[in-house]
Formats: sequence, structure tokens, C-alpha cells
Amino acid sequence: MDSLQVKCQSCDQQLASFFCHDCRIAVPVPRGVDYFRYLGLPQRPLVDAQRLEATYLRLSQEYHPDRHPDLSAEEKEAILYRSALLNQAYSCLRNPKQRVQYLVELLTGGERSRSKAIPPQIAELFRRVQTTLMAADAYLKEAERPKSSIEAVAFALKSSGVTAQRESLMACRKSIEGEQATVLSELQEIDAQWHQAGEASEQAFHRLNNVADALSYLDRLGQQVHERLVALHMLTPAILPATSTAPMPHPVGTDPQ
Amino acid sequence: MSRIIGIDLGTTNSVVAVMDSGMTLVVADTSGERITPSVVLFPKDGEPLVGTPANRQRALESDRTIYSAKRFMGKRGYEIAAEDMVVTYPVTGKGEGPVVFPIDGRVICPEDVAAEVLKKLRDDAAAFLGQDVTRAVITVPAYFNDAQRNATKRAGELAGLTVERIINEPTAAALAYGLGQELDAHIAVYDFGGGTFDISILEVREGVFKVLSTCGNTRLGGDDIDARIVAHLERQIRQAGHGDSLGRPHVTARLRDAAEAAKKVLSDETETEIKLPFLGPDFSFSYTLDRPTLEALMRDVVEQTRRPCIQALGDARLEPEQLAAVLLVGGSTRIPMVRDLVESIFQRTPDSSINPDEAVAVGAATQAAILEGHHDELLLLDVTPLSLGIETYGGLMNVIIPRNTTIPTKAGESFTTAVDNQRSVSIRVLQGEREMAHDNWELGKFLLEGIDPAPAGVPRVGVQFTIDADGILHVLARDQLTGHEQTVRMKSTVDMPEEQVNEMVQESIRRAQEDMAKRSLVEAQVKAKNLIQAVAAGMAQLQDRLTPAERERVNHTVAALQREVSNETSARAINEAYQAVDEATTRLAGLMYEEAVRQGAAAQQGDSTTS
Repeated sequence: MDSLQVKCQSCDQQLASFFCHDCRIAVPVPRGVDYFRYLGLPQRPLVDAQRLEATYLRLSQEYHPDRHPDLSAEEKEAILYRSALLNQAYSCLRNPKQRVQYLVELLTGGERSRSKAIPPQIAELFRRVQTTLMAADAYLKEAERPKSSIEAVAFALKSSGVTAQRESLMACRKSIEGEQATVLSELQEIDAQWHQAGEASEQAFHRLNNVADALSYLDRLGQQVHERLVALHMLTPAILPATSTAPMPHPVGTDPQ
Repeated sequence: MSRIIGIDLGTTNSVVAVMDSGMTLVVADTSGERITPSVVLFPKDGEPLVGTPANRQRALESDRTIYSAKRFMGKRGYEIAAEDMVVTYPVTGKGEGPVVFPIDGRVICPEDVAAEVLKKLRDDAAAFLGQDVTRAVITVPAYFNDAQRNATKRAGELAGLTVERIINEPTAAALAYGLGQELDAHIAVYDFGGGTFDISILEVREGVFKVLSTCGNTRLGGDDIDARIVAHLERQIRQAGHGDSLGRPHVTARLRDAAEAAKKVLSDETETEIKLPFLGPDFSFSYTLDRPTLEALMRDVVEQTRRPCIQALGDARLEPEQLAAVLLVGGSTRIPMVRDLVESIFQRTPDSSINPDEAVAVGAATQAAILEGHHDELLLLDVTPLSLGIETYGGLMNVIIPRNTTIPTKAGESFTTAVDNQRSVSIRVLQGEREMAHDNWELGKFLLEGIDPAPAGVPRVGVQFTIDADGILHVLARDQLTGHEQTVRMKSTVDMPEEQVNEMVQESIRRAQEDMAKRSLVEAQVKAKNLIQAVAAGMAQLQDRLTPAERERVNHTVAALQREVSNETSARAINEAYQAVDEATTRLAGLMYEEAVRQGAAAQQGDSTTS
């Protein structure tokens, strides 16, 4: 399924992971092995999600400390690092934003020159989301402020309350997801021209850098919207006064006759 | 080599399980009990008594019988609220110091109590297997922090066990559930026990149990419900004019037992009679508790499990309908009100096919079997429940490993100096979700020294965090220019030198009474002031609608409460006055409620006509 090829330094055997079952040792990971190579995946903007998942599960079975309870202390330490690195690599590569950023960093040999400006195609969305976030924050703050029972009830019954906030956040989420889809389709185009010689490749890298910026902003906005939605969800719809645990008297004057 | 046993070390009850001829079995002890109460009696002389025998003596020797010790595991003195100290045995702990139980001049710490329970379970398993047992997998609440995990590991060592793995309780339960069935689904585990609450969301595929998110509260459980019932019973006793019988440890112990028993009965029945003969010299208490009253008493305890569930679903980026099942674990999930809440959050009938008391131990034994080389199709991939980071300039928390990261993991970051020629940097390792450093739990603090003089911003200090498969953190700091390295063992309170602990204990015993009284007093004052304000607001608006007698009673009780608050005599006096105000304002609260609903409805109408 995957093409990870490792040679055991002790028995020269071809392995499909950095652990040799025959010698019971962790094979050293050569310097400069990046996350792609650690998982035996091609170094490019897109990864085959199914392949990544399958490789991760297979290597987890190989490296997880649970699979090696009887190793020497030194080998245990080594396998812990294999396993930790695997989890790190997997969580980076499965997430488009992290993967693209990581790839750009690899290609530039270090720190990515992150442009500070908001990419123009999302500037409008950015402003709209910020406004919605501010409204949501104000609402949440008011909702969580300790209130007298009367205020609490009035607040809870206000029609322009939680539903309205949720709807505008959902609308933002939808726009963000739409924009993310556009950026990801661009990523596909870039991937298609990957490893073509000369100009195209340089151009591809330039476009990749822009995609990294856009994804970074969109990811952040998406996270912020998500946090507010979770927080809104947590507001308990309790209308009962919180100060007393005594039972409520039945409303008077409701004689059915 | 010794077999590995699986232990669920619970707040209220503990269970041990082993794999035997391919089956995972819960081990019964010599009296045929499958569940051991996590209760230890420390007699004046002789060996500690563990489990049911200790539990039986609880009412008689309440000041030397320790229960719910798990609540204090890995805690520091300042973390213990006055209400936590309302147990029938002595508890002390101050500031950064550990929490200990001084009994007969001996210093007993929570780990010692856990170790006694573990020894008993170890012996039960050894008798069952017919061989010595020295290795174990022990479970902890998923939301336990680093110090609490370390304390549990140390308790295992004190019991002569090599702790081969610490695993999370809800994950263990999921493993027990998934045993023998081919699952390909997302599941949630709602684990509400005696003292802790956890929620975990997992993805199960091809035998791999991958935790996506986890959340919880390590001081929320059935114990809190019992405490509510006890307080309610005490109010009844006071109203009956027998308040003078209260406050003595053996009375509290008997009330606690009665409360717990009543709670259990009310999971099936709609009412139960509580009978406590000779609670005082000439006083026998009898009272009927019904389910609606119990539900009113425990509603906010149960309700507190809602937020973590929503958070965990949000962190997993899942909607309730994407789950295939919601498993119930822990004794408190037998309560109908809890089941209703779970149903309302997850919009489905929870799955109660697993034994809520035994599933965690069965899961621990399954993990033990994995470590012994069995079950090569099964693998647990768990997460770290809380974010880990260090404090950076300005008192901010800089997250290095975010919560819900799959473990084992490692991550590092580079930091630099804030002033010119700074020769050392102080590194504070923190765990928690808050933005400000001081709002999070401090795991440890150390100084990386020997930095070469340089202008601010030039030196590079690398800090690397590694979390092992037990969820325990290891920290390495490195001056990247000089290569000077420092590995840091995280401080948990148990690591302190013996003399220092003893000294602190002596000091705290002297101060304990004062401290606790002071703490309860402050808490009672705050509570009272809030109530006075709320009543004043209500009276300002609605006093015309009260009868003169009612008004008089409200004013009278509020004035009495006001007096107690400013007199600062005792928490108990304030609480009694508080109770009186609460009772005197029942009708006022009802009026406020009606008024609020009326106003709210009017506001809603107003809104809909203008929109």
C-alpha cells in the first residue's frame, strides 16, 4: 500500500518501518527525513487521505509502546520517539493548512516568510466574520453575566437571542467552508503541475505560498467561529431563578372553573 | 514474569480484572465480592482494614476511616475547598503543600490510602491466579492532570506493583465495549462515577481505538449528590429542633450512608423512607425522601456534566447524530435524571449494555493483555486531556502541546531572552486551558542557567515536551548555542523530601482548624452577600405584593443574616441565617419568577411586532 523502505543497519534486511522485528531494535531515522518520507509518502501538496490513514494505522501498530513492553530501556526510549514522531507527522499531514505550511517551510529550508496582509480574496469575508464574532462575544458576555432572576428570564425569552447569533455564525461558517473549497481546488491545480521543470515549478511554489496564507487565515476564522458556536451551545436554557432551590409555588388565579 | 492485572481504582469502589484462558474476568475476593469499596480504616495498632470491613466500621470509627481519598490525589493544599474538607476524617493541607490525613499522629497521604486498596486487589488477583502479582495496569479519570497521574503511579509503587501503564477510564470502558465485536464507528463514553466525571469521544476502526477528544471534571460525582442529600437531611433535623445532634463525625457518617442508600433506592423507586434510630440521645430521625425532591437537590450537579459533553463533541468536530452509541459508565449513570440528560445532549437513548461498575476494570485487564502480547489486533491511541505549555513574558500561557493531541507525542519550541545579558531563564511548565499563566496548574518550575551574555532576543532556548504512553510529561530545556541541557522531572507534591512534608504537616495540623474555619467563613459570607443583594432587588420591585407578615419575615431574616455576616462569628451561624432567608423568600422568588416570565413574554411580543 505504501512505499516506506528502510534498511536495518544490523541485518541489512529491507523493512517497511523504522523497527526491525528480527533484531528487536529501532532503526535510526536518517537526518533530514521529513514527515512525508517518515511515512513513505511523496512530498507534494496533496496526500492520498486513504493511504495516509492506512499507513498511520499500520505504523502505529509497529511503533506504539504498547507493542513493545519487553524492550530494553534504551530501545523503549527509541520506540517512544518513533511513536511520538509518527503522531506528529500524521496530525500535520492530514490537515491541509498544516501540511501546506510545512511543505513551504521544507522548500524554503526553514522559516516561511509569512505575509502579514490579509489575502485580498478573503478580505471581505474576514471583515464580515470579525463583525459577527464581536456580536457573538457581546451576546455571550451578557448571557454569562450574573443576573437577577428577572433579568435572566427576560434575557432568555428575548427572541433575537441565541438563535439569531447561531444563524449568523452558521452563515459565516458556510462562507468560510466555501472559500476553503476554492482554495483547496487551487491546491489541486498546483499539485497537478508539481515537479514540472523550470518556470511552472517556481510559479507553483509561489502559488503554494499564497495558498498557505489563505488557508492559515481561513483555518483561524473557522476555529474562532467554531468556538463561539460551542460556547452558544453551552448556554443552558434555564429560566428558573438560580438563587433558590425551594420548589416554586403554583401560579395563583388559574382556577379552571 | 508476573502476570499483569487490570485495576479500576475508583473514588467509591475499586475492581480488579485479569485475563484467564482467553477470557477477561472480574476477580471476586475471598468473601465473593467483585467490588471493593475504596475505604481504608487505619486502626490505632495493627494492619489497616480495607474494603467492606472498613466500610462497616465507618460509622463507629468515622475519624479514622478514609473514603473518597481519590479526590485528594495529587492535590495541593490551596486547591482544597472548605466543602471538600467536609469528610468525617481529618484533612489538612496548605498552600503548595500536599494534602494529608493526620491520624493518631501518623501522616497518611492519599497515595497511602490508594496503596492499601491496591494491595488488597493485588492479593485477590494473586489468589485467583495462584501466583504472585507484581505488575498492573491502573486506570485514572481521563481528565486527571499530570500530578494526579504521577500520584496514582506512586500509589501503585507503594503497593509493590510495577505500573505498566496508566490508562484513562472512559477509554478502558470503550475497549471493554468493543471487545469481541467488529466496530467501525464513533462512540462517546459518558463516565460519571463517585467523584469524577469524564466524557470521551472515540473513533473505532479495525481494532484501533482512537480517542478524538476528552473533557471532564475531576471533582464532580455521586459524592456531591450525597452531600446535597445530607445537607437537606440536616435542614430537616434542624427544623425538627434537633440541630444540636449534628456536626459530630459519627452522625455525619450515618447521614452519609443513609443519603447514599436513599439515592440508590430512588433510581428505581419514587420514594424511600430514611430511618436513623437514636441519632441523638433522645432523638430518632425518620423522613420520606421522594424522587422529585432528590432531583431538585441534585439538578445542578447533574447539569454540570453538560458543558464538558458539548466541549468534547465540539473538539471532535462531530454532531450528536454522527455517533453510533453513547456508553454509560460509573455508578451515577444509574440515576434516571442522568440518563435523561445524556439523552437530551446526545439525542439518543444511551447504550447500557456494559456493566457500569465493571467495564473499566475489564478494559484495564484487556490493556494488560495487550501488553502481555495478546490481542494483537487491538490498539489504544489516547490523547492528552489538557493543553501543556510554558509561561512566557507578560504572564501568558504559551501552548506547546494542545489538548486532545494523540499520545505519545513530542513538540518543542524556541524561546529567547527579554533583557540584555540575561544569564538564565526561568521556565514554568503549565497545564490547562486558560490564557493567563497563573490561571493554569503549575507542574513545575526550573531555571536554565549558563546562557552566554548577549543582547535580548539573541539567545535561543529550546524547550521540548514529550508525553509518554501513560500521559506523563517529560521536559527537556536546551541552550541551543552552548548546548547546555537540563532535563526536568515534574514536581508533584509527593516528590517533596520527607522532613519537609512532616514539617508542613505539623504546621498545618496546628493551623488546620483555623484555616478551615476561615475558609468556610469567607465562602459563607460571599454566598450570603449575594443572597442579600438578590432579595433587595426583588423587594424593591415586588414588596407591595407580599402580605405585611411576609414582608416582615423577609426583612427580619435578612437583617439577621446581615448581622451574622458582619459579626463574622461562624460559617454555621451564617448558613443557618441564610437558610432562614431562603425559606422566608420562597413566595417572593415565585413572584419574581412570574414577573420575569410576564416581562419576558411582553418583550418577546414587542420584538415580534417590530420585526
